[in-house]
Amino acid sequence: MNMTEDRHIPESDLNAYLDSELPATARPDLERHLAGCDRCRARLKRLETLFVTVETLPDVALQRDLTSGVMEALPDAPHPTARVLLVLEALLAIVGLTLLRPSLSRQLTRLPQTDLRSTLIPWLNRAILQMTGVWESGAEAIGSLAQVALDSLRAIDPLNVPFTTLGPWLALATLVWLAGNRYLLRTSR
Amino acid sequence: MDEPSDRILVLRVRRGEVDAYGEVVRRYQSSVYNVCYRLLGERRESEDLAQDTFLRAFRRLDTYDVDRPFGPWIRRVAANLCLNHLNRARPTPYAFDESRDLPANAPSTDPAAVLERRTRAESVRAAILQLPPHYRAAIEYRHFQDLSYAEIAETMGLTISQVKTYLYRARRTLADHLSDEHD
Repeated sequence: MNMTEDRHIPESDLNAYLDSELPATARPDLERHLAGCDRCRARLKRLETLFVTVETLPDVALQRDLTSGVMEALPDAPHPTARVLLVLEALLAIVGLTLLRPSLSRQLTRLPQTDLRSTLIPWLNRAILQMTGVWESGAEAIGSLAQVALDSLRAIDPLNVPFTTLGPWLALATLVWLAGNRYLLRTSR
Repeated sequence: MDEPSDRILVLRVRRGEVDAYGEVVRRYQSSVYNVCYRLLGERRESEDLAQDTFLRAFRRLDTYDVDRPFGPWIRRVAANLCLNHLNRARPTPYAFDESRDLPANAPSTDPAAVLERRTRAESVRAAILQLPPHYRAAIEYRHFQDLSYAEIAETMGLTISQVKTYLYRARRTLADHLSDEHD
């Protein structure tokens, strides 16, 4: 520190001293000078008063709650239940396609012979086969029980199932679909 | 039942329970707003920046060390955001609205004492707001967030020597402004 009896404490050192940032080795010299120098003691006192003035500045009251604004602006994270429902929804769609494939193919072959039909039917068949293939390979991986379940599903012809049987299943499927798409899980946020 | 700690809330948010962040905002909105208000001096702008602070903190929540207190971390995010904002924005005239910018907790009901404190607080705020943005930020970090010179240097991308210079110059300017007010 650049300080003698004649030269006063640099302002930056007085600041560092009050901030407890002055090196320990420099502190004894500074304190010795302060003890013998009225002017530096007065400067230190003024600086201390300024510290107190700044640090006792009162907080102001927040006029509105920021919570709703922040929460509305946050990116949506999938609700944990919604994640399960999305998986269920996907499974339901694959089961539905597996069930509908034979009936759909039959219906398509009944369409009049046109260019559209000759293009559409093979395309739809391929698309459905690819999608249901996921289910089939999944069933193979799981084992014979899943294969039996798949075979019994294939034996059902949904177009010939009475509505009293099909209705509740359709209702359930709709509920899962709505929940999977979060229409039933929306909160006020 | 005890309220969940900040640590628990943050861990829940990180796991995907976004709603838990609402409680974090409720707990810290006032202190974050006050950081912004000290640095910006304008109510609406401070509310907007406080809101942006929580959004930025949410996006950077994975960088927060849950073993350290949350308050200092979010207040530092707020001050950084305000400093960036000040560096980008054009200087705007500063004006308080006495009836609006009331202290959060008035300790006395004596009208004369309340008026004196309010006048004094306004003088201090006005003096802080007359400082250049980087001096203002140094004062905020040191006096209101209790950061060391090394921490301020790291936060502001300065050397410790620059921090020391900023602080004593800022304080000298503050003292000049405040003594002018008294004269």
